[in-house]
Amino acid sequence: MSNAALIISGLNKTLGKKHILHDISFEAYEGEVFGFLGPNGAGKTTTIKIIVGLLRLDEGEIEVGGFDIKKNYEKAMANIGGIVENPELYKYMTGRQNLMQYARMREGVTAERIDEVVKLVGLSNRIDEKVGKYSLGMRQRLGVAQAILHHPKVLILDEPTNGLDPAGIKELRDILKSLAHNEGICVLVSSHLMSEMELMCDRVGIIANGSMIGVYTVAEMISASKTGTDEYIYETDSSEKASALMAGYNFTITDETHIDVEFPEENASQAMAELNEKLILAGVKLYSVSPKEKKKLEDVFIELTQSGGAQIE
Amino acid sequence: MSRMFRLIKNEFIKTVRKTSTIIALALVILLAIGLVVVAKIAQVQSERYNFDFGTVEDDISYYQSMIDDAEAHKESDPAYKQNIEMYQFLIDNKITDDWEYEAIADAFSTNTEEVTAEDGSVSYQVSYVYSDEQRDKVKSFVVAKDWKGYYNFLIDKFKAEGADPNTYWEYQYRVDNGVAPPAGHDDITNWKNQCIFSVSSAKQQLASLGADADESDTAQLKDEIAVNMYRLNNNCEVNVADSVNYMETGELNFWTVLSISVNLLTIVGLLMILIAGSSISSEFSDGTIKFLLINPVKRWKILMSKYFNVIFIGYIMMFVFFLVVTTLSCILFGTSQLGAEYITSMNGEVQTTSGILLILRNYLLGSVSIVVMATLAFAISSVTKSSALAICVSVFSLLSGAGIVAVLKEALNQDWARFFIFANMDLAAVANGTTGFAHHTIGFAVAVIVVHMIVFLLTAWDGFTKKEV
Ligand SMILES: Nc1ncnc2c1ncn2[C@@H]1O[C@H](COP(=O)(O)OP(=O)(O)OP(=O)(O)O)[C@@H](O)[C@H]1O
Ligand SMILES: [Mg+2]
Repeated sequence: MSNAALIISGLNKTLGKKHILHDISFEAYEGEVFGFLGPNGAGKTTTIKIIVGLLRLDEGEIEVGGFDIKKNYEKAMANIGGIVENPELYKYMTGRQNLMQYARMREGVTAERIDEVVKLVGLSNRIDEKVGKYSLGMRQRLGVAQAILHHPKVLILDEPTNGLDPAGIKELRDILKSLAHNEGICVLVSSHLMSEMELMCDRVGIIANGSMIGVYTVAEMISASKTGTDEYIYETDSSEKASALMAGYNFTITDETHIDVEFPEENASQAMAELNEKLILAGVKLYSVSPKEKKKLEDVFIELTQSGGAQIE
Repeated sequence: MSRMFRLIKNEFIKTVRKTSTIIALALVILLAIGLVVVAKIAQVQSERYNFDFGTVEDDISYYQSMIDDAEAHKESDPAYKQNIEMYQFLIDNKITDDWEYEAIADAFSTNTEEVTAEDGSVSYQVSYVYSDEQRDKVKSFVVAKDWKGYYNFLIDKFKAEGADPNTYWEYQYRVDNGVAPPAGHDDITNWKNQCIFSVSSAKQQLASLGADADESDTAQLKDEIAVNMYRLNNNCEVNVADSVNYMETGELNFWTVLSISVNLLTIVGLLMILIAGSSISSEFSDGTIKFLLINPVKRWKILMSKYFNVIFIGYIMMFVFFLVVTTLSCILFGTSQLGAEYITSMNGEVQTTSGILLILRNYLLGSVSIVVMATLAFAISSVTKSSALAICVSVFSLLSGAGIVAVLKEALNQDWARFFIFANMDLAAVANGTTGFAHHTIGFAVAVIVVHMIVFLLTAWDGFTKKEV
């Protein structure tokens, strides 16, 4: 892997009396899209707010593009672009005037760069309209434009697909992937949708109840969803009779007529044929054998994040 | 530095793009226009009701009525004959102007002596104060309208009596400088005559106080003399100092309008407080604060840029107000008085400033309390994120702070009230010693202001840099 653009270590945060983040640590690299995944209230926004300097860093260390945000705040922040929660910009100004505000606060943003960014997010035709007249999706796009204006090394987007239409989501996905893979930017995207992450992220960090559960590559996540066995549902006239013949197989009786049977992945078809033969010869009426659906990535995510009940803490 | 400039530019753009700022600026301009136009209308109105001094015929018929009156009271007034003779002379020569009338009145003035006869009956002996020869001389001066001759005659008379030169200064001055006494009623209000009257009356008061009078009693008279002599010697038709006290003179001119405008600065101040109180809190209520603070700029720099912008906008509004008032006054009241000076005297020493500079100085002094209260609004809104609270507290303080101090000082006699910021914001009053506190110096006032400003700004800084968004 290439260099770490964002290093977070030992992050703890208490808001009010509530200890919200517990020892969050992870790294995100240049040239990758890093998914920051967690259910509602997990602490994604809180973590992101600390990284971009909206919340105070009480305990822990954050390094952005090689600069410690405590010791070298302005240099570290110059390497970050981001959107936090809703894209609320100055409604009484046009999109371009808004971008010029941010351009003045950062170094080296030219008028050409503004045009380039506006084109990239597909707002060229509407950029000179007042932001008050924008739709949510348009404001989200303007927020992205604002975030990438100054060529940041680390781009942090909190639920950026919020409010975008399917075409917009796809466009954004392509933009983010291209920024990461072609321009070497480290893109950190938070979401609570695994399916979204699967489509654009290289690696995914999972957070639940304020603790980091782990960081996985998407390939790892997919293989985690594979259990090494194929499962089939057997429908017979009597589960009792059938199960008596299934010694040596991994099975579970679901009701009087249905049994789930697991076969090793390598020779599933062979093993299944053998069992079918056995049942039919013994006079069991075999009505149907159907493959049981595979575990999805989403289930892996839910399993990982739901150690306790489904209540938001 | 250029970075700070860009931050302030950002804040400036944000402020001026808001409709509320445009409305505030429009109000400032309207206020300025309204002030000058209303003053002009009032001036035109008051000119229409100019006091009617009457005509020569009015005076003649008045003299005639005095003659009839004297005839009717022959018995009770022993000097009736001399009176009738005087009024007849006035009628015959159609004398109405002041110096001529006064000369004749003096020439015909009489002494009445009570004479008790041997049989105990009382009679009155009436004699002229002037000799016949003197009276004839005065008559001939009056007939020839020779005021110089008459004044020289008076001067000689005073000298012969060994009088204090202060008592006949006016005659000497007019003769020496060839300034004719008022002829015709309009001349009385002529500035030169007004100055001469002031000096003359002050000198006479000095003379009556005598040489061993108290320093404090004479100082003011001496200053009055010094100022008016300066105006006479330097041909200053207008003294801006008179217009600054427009409440006393009741006169309306170019300079009174400018002086009133200084007092209306408070209204401009209210608008500045509105902007100061919402500068930070509106970012929170609009949700834009997150996109502001995400930038690679330390928070205190953003705070400073907001503060500088508020102060800058405030001064722009005050300057626009001043500019509109001045320009419109030039148009409506004319530019003839534009170069006038502000003439005052301290211990007989004359000090002059250009009138425009003085008004600008008063604007600057007037802006002090506005800036302090805007800073307070800024600090409150930084800590509480509530513009309503910030604006209410600051406006209340600006409008009633001085009153609270006055109550503490005058009604409750609490001297520590001098440490209140409100007791020190009116630097002009502190300089003039009219705040009511003994030994209240400019240095003390400035120190109190600076301490408060530092506290306000530190509070704003603390609130803003520690805020978790
Ligand atoms: N200002 C605050 N004071 C106290 N608790 C807070 C504050 N802000 C957030 N929290 C709590 O911190 C926890 C994490 O919130 P956070 O917004 O980080 O979640 P999230 O992962 O972004 O969730 P979502 O997917 O809903 O956006 C929540 O339990 C929330 O109630
Ligand atoms: Mg969130």
